[in-house]
Amino acid sequence: MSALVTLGLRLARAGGPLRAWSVALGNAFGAFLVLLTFALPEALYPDPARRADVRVNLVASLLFLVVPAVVLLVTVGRLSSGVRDRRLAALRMIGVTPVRVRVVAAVENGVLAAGGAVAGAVLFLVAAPPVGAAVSRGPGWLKAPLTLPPGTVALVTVAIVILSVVLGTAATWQRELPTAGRSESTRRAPSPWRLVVLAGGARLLVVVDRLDSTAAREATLMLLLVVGVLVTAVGIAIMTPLVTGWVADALLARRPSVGITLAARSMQSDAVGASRVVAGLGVAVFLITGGLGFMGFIAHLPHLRAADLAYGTGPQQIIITASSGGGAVPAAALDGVANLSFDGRSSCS
Amino acid sequence: MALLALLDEGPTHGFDLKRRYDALLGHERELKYGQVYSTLQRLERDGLAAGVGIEAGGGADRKLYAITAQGVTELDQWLTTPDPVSGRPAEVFTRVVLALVSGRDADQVLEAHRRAFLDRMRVLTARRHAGDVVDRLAGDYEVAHLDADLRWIELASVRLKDIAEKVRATGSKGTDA
Amino acid sequence: MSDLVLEGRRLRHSFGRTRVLDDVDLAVRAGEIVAVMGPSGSGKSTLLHLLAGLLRPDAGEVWLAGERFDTLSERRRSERRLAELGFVFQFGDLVPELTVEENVELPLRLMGVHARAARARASVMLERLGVVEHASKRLGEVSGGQAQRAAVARALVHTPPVILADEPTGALDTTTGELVLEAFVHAAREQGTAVVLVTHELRVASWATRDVLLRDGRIVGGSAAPSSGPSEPLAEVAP
Repeated sequence: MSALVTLGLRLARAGGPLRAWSVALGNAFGAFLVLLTFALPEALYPDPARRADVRVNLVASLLFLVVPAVVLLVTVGRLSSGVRDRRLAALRMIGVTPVRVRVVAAVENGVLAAGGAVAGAVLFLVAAPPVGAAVSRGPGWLKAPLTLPPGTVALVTVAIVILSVVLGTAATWQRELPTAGRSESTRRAPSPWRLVVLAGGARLLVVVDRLDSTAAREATLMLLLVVGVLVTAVGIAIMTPLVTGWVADALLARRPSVGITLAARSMQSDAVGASRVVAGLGVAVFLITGGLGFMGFIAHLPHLRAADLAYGTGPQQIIITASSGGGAVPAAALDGVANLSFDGRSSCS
Repeated sequence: MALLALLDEGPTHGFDLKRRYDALLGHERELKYGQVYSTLQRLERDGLAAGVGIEAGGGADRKLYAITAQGVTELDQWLTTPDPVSGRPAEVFTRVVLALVSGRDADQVLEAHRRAFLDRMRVLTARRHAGDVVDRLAGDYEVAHLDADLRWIELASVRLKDIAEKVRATGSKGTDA
Repeated sequence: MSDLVLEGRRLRHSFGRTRVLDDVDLAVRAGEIVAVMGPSGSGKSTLLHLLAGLLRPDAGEVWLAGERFDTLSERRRSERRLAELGFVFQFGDLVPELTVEENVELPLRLMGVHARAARARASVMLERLGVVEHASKRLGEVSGGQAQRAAVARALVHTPPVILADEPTGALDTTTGELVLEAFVHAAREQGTAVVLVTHELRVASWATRDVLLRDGRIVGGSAAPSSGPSEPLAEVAP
């Protein structure tokens, strides 16, 4: 057992400082964001009753923090996966059982992830309260200190490490053994099943949209919303290689120039690796679109729309209620006043 | 020339020369005394060696020979100039070409030779630790040549197949010549 | 013949539509060195992969030390592969991030041998293969020939009863190749290791006690089973 652990540690170190630091920092940043997400609700709305009122909105907004964190963790967890998978395959060849290979992969990823996650947690514990205090003194958004009970911090950190480990050992779950015939350029085609994830996430969001948002179903609503958004974000991240592959195929179909052929073939042979670069972009677009959608939604709420018209140049609807007693003014006379149009409706009681 | 090289080490007499030659290069072919003495006389005549004295020993007195300066020059030149490279085909060439041209199955020829060469190579490899460095070098030499011969046989069978195809092709077109 | 350490019976295998091996039998006894020869594409490497349990044959059986091998579970096959087989493949398959000596001692460490003992044994093997001065270098820093010799060292380090080697001297010149072959002969003589090596070079095959010729997936020459008498002596090993 100790040999496996030693091997895992050795491999974690041997992958190169760039990779090690990337994984650690990714996990640190991810941990920090997730902890922030958990801490903000209480800091923004210390009163539990008030918080319950705005819970759905809160969750929806905080998702904007969580989604990048999750994608970051997913991407970083699979960094240089091609090389690592080949290396793990080499271990399988000399007769390391599948279980033991998984242990090695888990140690290798776990060590780096744990280091990063713990660093992120420590950063949160140290930096969040003063930052929170500064924010409440300044713009005053926060009504309570930005902290979390240590138990929660520990729990979140462990969860993140577990997630990283699961991602890192993803390749070791395949059953078949790669034989020596597999060369570097064998095509690793992403399976079309990846689309299912995105479809599932989108479906959930549609369900959320159609749901009648009565208070009784709030918990369900929130759950669906959170799960829907996360699944969609992950779906986007893992669907990108599929699209990359299609784009590469399309490019090659037109017999392009040498440079484009090289690029397209390279994209084809390692669609996953090539897409990792742009997965973040995809998620950013997702978030921005969501944000814009949200803002557009807000702009169309009746009272906000009316306020918008009031401040702007849009036609305003003025409702005049007159109490009884007093001279009668024919409503139609209003028509003569500049910039007023009478649309002929009057309800008199 | 070999004797001259041996003389280069120091003045020696014929008996000793023969002994040393046999030990180094003789292997299955030993030098005859007559050959040694006639060669020494020729070297002396050409000025490459000279008699330098008599060594008294058991039995008859033996004439000591030593290499001359001219001899050293000749020797150096001979050692460093390769023979004009010719690589004239040996008997295996004739046999294989005749076999292939006569329409015999090329694979069979190849296989028979491969088996024979492999068996010979195995013997040489098994002997590699018996004998001295020169024996080992001789073994390596033979193995390398067997290897080369086999490669040539493979090539020949492919080439002759091609030629046979062409011949058959022109033959089937009818005789125009 | 109870001392057969490795046996392939009526092996048949195809990749997609291509039949790569057709009814191949091969039996290997302890202490033998068998050379598998043949043109490229004749199925030599596939045969080796089947014997090593890396592939399951479409038909036929593989027996290792008298027990059925190809039908074992993945876990069991891996365990036996680690303990009872050593192999050298054309493409090295060493772990690139580890140093040469870490790679060579890996089978021993995985079998539970202590770090110091494993390192010592690895050094002995590296010495025998003539690469001990590169021991602390990472794989990326050594030449192809040195890496190949390191792979051979790794295959020999835990003295498995069977060694399977695919063109083990491919990247080596005559003298360094001989170090590898001498190491195999030493193992066969001193430890009764059975060696199956795939080669296209006659010179390498001349180090074997027996040879087998494959063409188009079938055995067309040599002897597929050991002779009933004692195997021919390979003459003295280097003192």
